[in-house]
Amino acid sequence: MGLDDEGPKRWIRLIFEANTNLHTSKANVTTANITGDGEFKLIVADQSPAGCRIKLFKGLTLVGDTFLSDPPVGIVTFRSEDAMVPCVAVAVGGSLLIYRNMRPYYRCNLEPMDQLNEEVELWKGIQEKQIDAEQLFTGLNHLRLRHGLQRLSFITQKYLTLTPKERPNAITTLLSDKAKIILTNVTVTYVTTMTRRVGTGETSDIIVISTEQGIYWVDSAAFTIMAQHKVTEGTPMKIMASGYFEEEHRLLIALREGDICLLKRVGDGRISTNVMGLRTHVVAFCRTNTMLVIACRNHSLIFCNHKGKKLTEKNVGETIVDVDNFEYEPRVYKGALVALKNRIDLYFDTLVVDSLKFDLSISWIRYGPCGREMNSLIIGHDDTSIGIYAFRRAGIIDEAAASKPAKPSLAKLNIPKKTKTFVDQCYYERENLGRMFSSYQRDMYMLRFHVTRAFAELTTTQSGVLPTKEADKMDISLDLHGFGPFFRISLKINCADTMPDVSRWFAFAYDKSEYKCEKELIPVTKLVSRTTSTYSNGIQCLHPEKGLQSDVKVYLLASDRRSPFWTTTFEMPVSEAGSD
Amino acid sequence: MASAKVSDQLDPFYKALLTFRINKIDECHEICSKILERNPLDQAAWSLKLACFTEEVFVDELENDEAGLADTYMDDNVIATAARPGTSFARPITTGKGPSPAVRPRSSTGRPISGMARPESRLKTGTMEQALRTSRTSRTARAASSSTARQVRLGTASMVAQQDGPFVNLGRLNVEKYAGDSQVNRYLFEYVFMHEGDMRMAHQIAAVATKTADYKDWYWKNALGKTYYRLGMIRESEKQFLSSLKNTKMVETYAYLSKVYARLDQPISALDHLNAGLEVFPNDVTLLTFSARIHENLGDLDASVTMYKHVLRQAAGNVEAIACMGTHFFYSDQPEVALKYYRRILQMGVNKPELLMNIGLCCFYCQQFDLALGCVDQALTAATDDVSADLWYNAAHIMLANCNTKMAQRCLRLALAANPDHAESLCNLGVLKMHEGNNYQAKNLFTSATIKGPNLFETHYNLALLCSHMGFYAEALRSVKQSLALFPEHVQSKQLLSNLMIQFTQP
Repeated sequence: MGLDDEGPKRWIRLIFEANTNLHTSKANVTTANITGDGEFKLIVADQSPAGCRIKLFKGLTLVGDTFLSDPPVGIVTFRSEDAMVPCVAVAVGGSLLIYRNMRPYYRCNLEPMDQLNEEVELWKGIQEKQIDAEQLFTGLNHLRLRHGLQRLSFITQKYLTLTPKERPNAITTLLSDKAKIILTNVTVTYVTTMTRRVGTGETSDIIVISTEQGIYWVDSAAFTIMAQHKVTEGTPMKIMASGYFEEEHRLLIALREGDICLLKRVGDGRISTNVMGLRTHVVAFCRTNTMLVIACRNHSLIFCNHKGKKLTEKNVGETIVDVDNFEYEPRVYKGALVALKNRIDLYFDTLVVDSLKFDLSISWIRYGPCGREMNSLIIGHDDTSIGIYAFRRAGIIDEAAASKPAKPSLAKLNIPKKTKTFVDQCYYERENLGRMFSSYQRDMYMLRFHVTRAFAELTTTQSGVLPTKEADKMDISLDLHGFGPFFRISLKINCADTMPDVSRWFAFAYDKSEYKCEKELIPVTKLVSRTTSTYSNGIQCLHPEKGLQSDVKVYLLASDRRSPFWTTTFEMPVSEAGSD
Repeated sequence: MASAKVSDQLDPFYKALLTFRINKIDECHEICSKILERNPLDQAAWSLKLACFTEEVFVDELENDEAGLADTYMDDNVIATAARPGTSFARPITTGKGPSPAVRPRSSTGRPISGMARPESRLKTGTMEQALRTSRTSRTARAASSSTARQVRLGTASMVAQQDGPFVNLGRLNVEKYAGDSQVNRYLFEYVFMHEGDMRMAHQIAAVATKTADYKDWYWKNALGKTYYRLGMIRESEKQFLSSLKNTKMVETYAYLSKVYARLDQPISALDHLNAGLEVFPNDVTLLTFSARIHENLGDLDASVTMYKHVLRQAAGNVEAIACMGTHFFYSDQPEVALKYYRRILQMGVNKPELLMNIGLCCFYCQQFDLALGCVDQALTAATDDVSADLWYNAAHIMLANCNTKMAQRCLRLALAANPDHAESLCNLGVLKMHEGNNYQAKNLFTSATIKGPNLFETHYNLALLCSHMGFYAEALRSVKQSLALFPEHVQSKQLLSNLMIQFTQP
């Protein structure tokens, strides 16, 4: 575990607690300024087998603890009109438990959406002993056949699945319990909150609850159901709300069947739904300022705009564990955090701009305020370790550098814009094609002629400046070294092929009044192919004070030819004055 | 006839002044000689004659900056031996601001080729040993020290001009007397400095004159600075120029200061002084040009181009700026824009073969085919010895583009006949030979090309490639390493190196 040390550190680890033994998930973790001291505390609904509890942490130190009767489904904090500090709502089974100052305050049961009256009547009848157990069973069974088992309450469902032997006992226990028989089939799957109206006035939030059947909007002041909607597209598994309840708002609903449903509700209650048709199961999603980021089970990240139009898709190649919204106001950074098995990538738009690596596998992440740090990232690991990280104030994300595509094949070539001149030229070319071609051909001919004539002049004078056919096989290079008045000429001959066996000499021609050579003629040894032989000759500038320079010619003579075999001319540099 | 009579009636000295004014130096010379024959002590005529001598050999001292081998490699003024990139001419900016050598060829000094041929700059390419090993014929050699290059030629010029002994016998000149005379001393100084090239005497005159002027005349301080600069006493000249600035702020002084700092290998200070100068003299072309040159030498081509643009806004006819802009656009893939710049130079009356060749090449690469080859042909006809090798080399490129390898080979042969040390031609000829299958010949050509042009990464890479084909792996490895030393980002060289490394790894 720990951050990757490469590059500038953008994240700093504040607290890390190994093996907290908190069995929790993202939905059961939240942070809130719950004690009103300005410090955001971590609230965790713990589902540990020993017993479910709500735990309040300052940092990662336990400061409060409340018992919970049933396993929690989700936990949210919300602002209520009359409370100074946020309240906590925990979804349990088919109801919502409200806690104030970490003490139980209210239990809000959710009414089933479309309960069958016949079912209520039947149960009422047996309670009031108007019908007997046999009639109850037949009636319920009849309802089951007509509406399906799912439509009936849990009690009915259980009763219908009992064997005939067990039924009388079940009835007696049910009836002996003085409490009212609660005929409900509501199971909460997710809970979230949304703002009531525009403006940050002291208004209570709306709690949005998704159940197996549909969505409930619950007023957090009176705990009445403001609206409900039956989701026919599938079973809601996760929801995310955006917008304002009294105006237009949207719910993004992940369906258990593997799709996403986008629900739009206008203030007056009109509802329209739209299924995205992902054909894959959704792992997590989040909403950034520009888009929705949806993580799918097939390792792909889908980026959509807020209206649900898919912009792009990216396959990350490994299991995506979680996603969360990232926002860093001081630098106006907005993006999404995508948690993979051992890594968290920070996406700005569709580009990875930062990456954190961890040794422990990640179970969930939550970005938001924690403690006094407004930009912290809480990471839960599979082994129940929890770490809290903060985005450094000095952390700078270079979007430009990150936007450079990693693969060079994707690099855009720097092609300059077509200038007006270029375009004009193209038009000109198109219109005067024939004329251009003919003048080009004529000029080409002239140029070739020019080259050929110049070449012929060189070859026919037999000066040897251009290598003859035989000399073509040799390569002779000449170097002149020294500052003067003494210089040294070195000649290197290298043969590519065997040369005829004749005697050859190097000869030097120069202005005798200005220069003096050590040797006028240097005999050349037999030229053997692919060997280099070096010759050297000293040359002295006689009057360096004059500062004159003149040409020196070097010839390679052969006994079987009259003209030189090879010639080169070079100009001597200005000589330095002698040291004496 | 009438006018001749009028001119005869003129006072001879006035006439001499007039002829000098309209730049008829020879006539002025004659008239002054006549006056001096009549009255050898006429100081006015004597001064004018000195001015005539100076005018004949006048070289803008600001532009006269030739650094010899000794100055470059045995420089005792350099402060940091391992300067940070961008703070020294020896370490140009490495952040990839400049174009890659694969796009814009490098000059023999290892910098991206410039639009303007300037005196040898001071970049050290390789070690001194390497510099000494390079063949030193007059075309390739850098002078051993700065006191030899142009100054010697100036000295010779004075000898040719005055067959019957020098006009002023410096050995017998009463320096104190003449240098203290404010009427004469400037002409005398310029004569000695420009014409005679006798720095010791020039320094003496300047020193006396400075003293006479109560250390208040910027001209004499600059004069002292110039002589110190020529004598290689850079720190002293810096002092003089700085003190001159305290007297009077002159454009020239700022430019000299930048030159001094450039010589001291402190480009940043040089730029600072130029900027200070530009604050006093905003938009001054000289200062802007100097600044552009320093940026170019530092490898910051973008800044250099901005400066040249600035220059052109002030002086639309600045050939150096136009040429540099042209080169910039040509190598940034906009030959049609470059063409406009070169055409502008042509319109201004410059009619040089290299310019025609540039226009031809621009036309060729921007598909203006009706003009392209005509210009090239004209350039080749008008070729002079010093550029003909380059012209033939470019002609070879055009031939290659026409798939005429035979003609291309001939062009390259002609280039090599004009200048046997033309490394680029050797390299390209080698490539053509290699394609023909004459591997040994190609190898020889590449080998000599690497010797003649140690600044070219292409020759090393080609040699390495050929050697690896021929099975000379050790040689190939050596060459490819040299290629990568010159151009570390060269992809093909890297690939070749990794391929070669396989040959050298133990199984």
